[in-house]
Amino acid sequence: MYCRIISGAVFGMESDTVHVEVNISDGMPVFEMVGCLATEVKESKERVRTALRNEGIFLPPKRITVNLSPAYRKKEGSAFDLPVAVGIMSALGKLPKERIENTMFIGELSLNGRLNGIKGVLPMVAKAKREGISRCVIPWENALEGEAVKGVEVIPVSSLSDVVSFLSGKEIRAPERARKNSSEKTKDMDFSEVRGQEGAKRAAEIAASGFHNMLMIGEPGVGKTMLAKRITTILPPLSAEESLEVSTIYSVAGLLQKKEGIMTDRPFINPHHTITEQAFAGGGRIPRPGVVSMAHRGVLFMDELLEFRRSVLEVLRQPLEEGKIWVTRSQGAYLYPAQFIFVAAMNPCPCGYFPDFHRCSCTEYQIKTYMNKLSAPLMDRIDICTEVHRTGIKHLFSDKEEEKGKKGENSEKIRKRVIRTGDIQKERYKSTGIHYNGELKGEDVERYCYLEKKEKKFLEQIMEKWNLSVRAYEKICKVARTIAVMEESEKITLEHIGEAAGYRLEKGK
Amino acid sequence: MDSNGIYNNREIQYVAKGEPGYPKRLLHIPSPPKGIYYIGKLPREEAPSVAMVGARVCSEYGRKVAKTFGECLAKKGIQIISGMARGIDSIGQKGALDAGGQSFGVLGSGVDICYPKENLPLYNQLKKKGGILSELAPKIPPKSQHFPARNRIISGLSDLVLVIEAKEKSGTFITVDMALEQGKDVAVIPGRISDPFSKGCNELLKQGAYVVTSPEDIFDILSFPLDRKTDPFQMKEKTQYFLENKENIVYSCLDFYSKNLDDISNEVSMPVSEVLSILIKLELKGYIREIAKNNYVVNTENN
Repeated sequence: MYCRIISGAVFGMESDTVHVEVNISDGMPVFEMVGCLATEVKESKERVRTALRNEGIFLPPKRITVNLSPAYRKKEGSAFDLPVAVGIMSALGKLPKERIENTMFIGELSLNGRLNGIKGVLPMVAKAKREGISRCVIPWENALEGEAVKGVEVIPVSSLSDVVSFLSGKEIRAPERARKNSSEKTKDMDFSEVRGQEGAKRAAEIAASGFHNMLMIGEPGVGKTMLAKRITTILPPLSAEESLEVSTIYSVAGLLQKKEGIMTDRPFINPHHTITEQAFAGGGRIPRPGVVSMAHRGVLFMDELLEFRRSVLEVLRQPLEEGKIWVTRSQGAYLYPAQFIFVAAMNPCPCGYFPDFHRCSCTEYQIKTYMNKLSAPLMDRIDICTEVHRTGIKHLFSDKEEEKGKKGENSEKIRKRVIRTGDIQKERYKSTGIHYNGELKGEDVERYCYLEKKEKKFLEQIMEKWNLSVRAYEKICKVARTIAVMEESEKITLEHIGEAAGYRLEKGK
Repeated sequence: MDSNGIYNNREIQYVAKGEPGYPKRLLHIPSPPKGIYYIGKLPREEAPSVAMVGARVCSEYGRKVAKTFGECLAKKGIQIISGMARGIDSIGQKGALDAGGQSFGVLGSGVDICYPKENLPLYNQLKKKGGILSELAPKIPPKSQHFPARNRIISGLSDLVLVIEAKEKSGTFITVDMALEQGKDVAVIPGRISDPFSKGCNELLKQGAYVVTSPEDIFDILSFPLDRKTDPFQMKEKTQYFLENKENIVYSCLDFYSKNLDDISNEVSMPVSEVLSILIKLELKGYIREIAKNNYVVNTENN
């Protein structure tokens, strides 16, 4: 009595089908599981035995062998409980065969036969669709996640008896579920809440428009974090494709179930400065996506940039350059996407108050040493640098509206402009693989950021005055291009270059 | 104690107390140094000398004052004595040398060590056009305990100590105390009462130091023959710069004290994007300087 069930597993970001083979034959009564299994998969046999018994199915005193193939890949996670249970029932002849075929089963069992949620449902269901599997039986908790994949029938079940009913062709009693509409979500942050800081707000809009990386310099408690958090509110909404990409990462990390289905908002990730390289890049024996991947298609905000470990900052190089990160472990190399807007904040000097000489007591030398902690490769990848300064109490809490700092526009208004600039860029870079100005590199800069004679000369003057590198030249070009697009100007003018040069990042500044 | 040959550095000379050539001014101070190592020259006995001291971190205004006083005093043949420290010290000395005068740096380390390192150009210039002095043997590194003793030589070698900028707590006061102990005059540049860089100066004035508002005041104290009074601080009329109208508006709202982008933008009622590109143009032309990210001051080098 042999039976084969289709199941799935996630290896890094990739998911693959796993076949669960069950054979029940005469011999010594044992229950054996093989196929390169991690501890939690081996333990599955106790959960399955008990859950089946509580469903009223007793395992016969026979030799039960379960094999998970392909046998060479290490299998982890608790998703195999359900396919093993179904396989045993089927091998015992207790289930009709026809509905088992061409169906993927994933889920973790409780001892009482209930099904618990698991990680990585989204990529597994997506894989099933690609493989031409027509049905997926998944735990109820992961229903929204699984249903996000179109073109495959998803059957959410809450217990083993539901599975039996479904396989015998009966209707499943669906528990009530509250589906949250994403548009109903209250936006609790808005750009208009930032009073004053016109310079920094402008820089943030440019950064969002061209997907440029940005550094904010300012004393503690002036609103750097506040501003950074609001950048996600002015970015264009996730496209359906992007949303799936992001959701897949969160699904693999097991963070999606808490988030009600699929990710519709751009992530904002704000790691603490004590973070390790492994947590940052992705790690574990079988790696999990790290912080850089959690920020995919969103904003990675690093407050107190210079307090992070040097090794962590160096990890940033690859994602900032390529938009993805390779994590290599003994099990193999795993590729995780990591394309984000990098927003960083730091103090201008060790005490934090420079250039306010009433409060700053740092020497020139101390300030230089402090700024020198910014490594050159990292500086090279930051296009925009701006200052965030203190706003007077009067500007924030005055009773009279006219005395307060400028309230500025709300996120919705800015977002409309950002989307418009994004569309122009999409049109310009059609079929080049580039989406935004921030992604331009080397030759592309020359090609897409063409400068006329007068403008070129002006930029050369700037280069000479501040002794800028070729990389800095490119950065100014890219930012000037974005500013030009924001004004819907085809030509990059002197004003655009001037403003872009004002956002340059230099040592000692 | 002859250093020649021992340190393999032919530049360094040594004069012991009691030998001819030992600065006479030092004979009259309490605990005079046993001898002086020097590169270049020693201050001349017959020429008046002024010590310029002040904060290492200074304002743009302080820079301007130090530079102007260094130049004006040096032109009159006054020797500028200072410690070659960052800030006021080195700016004043540089001003004196640039004006073709003489300046002497008294170090808190061996004379063959340039400290701070970024003052190497000044150090080399002083070697040629003035002198580097120290009571410490060559190769002794700069240490904090050496500096108060060094300050007594600075004030000892000069006829007057001029304080340009000093915060409430400043190493400058050590030099001032030494000067008073040695019976030298102390002159101070007054500042705004709210200015952190002038707190110490104004305190000294309260205690009875000379008030100095122009280089002539120093000539007066040193009983120098005076000619007509000039004002080296008169800024050029801003319209003389032939700036574009908008550049002019932005330039005229800047000051020696730094202003940030937002404040400038509010003052001139132009959007930040426009102001930023104007600021870059002004900076390119050398009229202003960015001292910290998006914080601008009037460039003193140009005025």
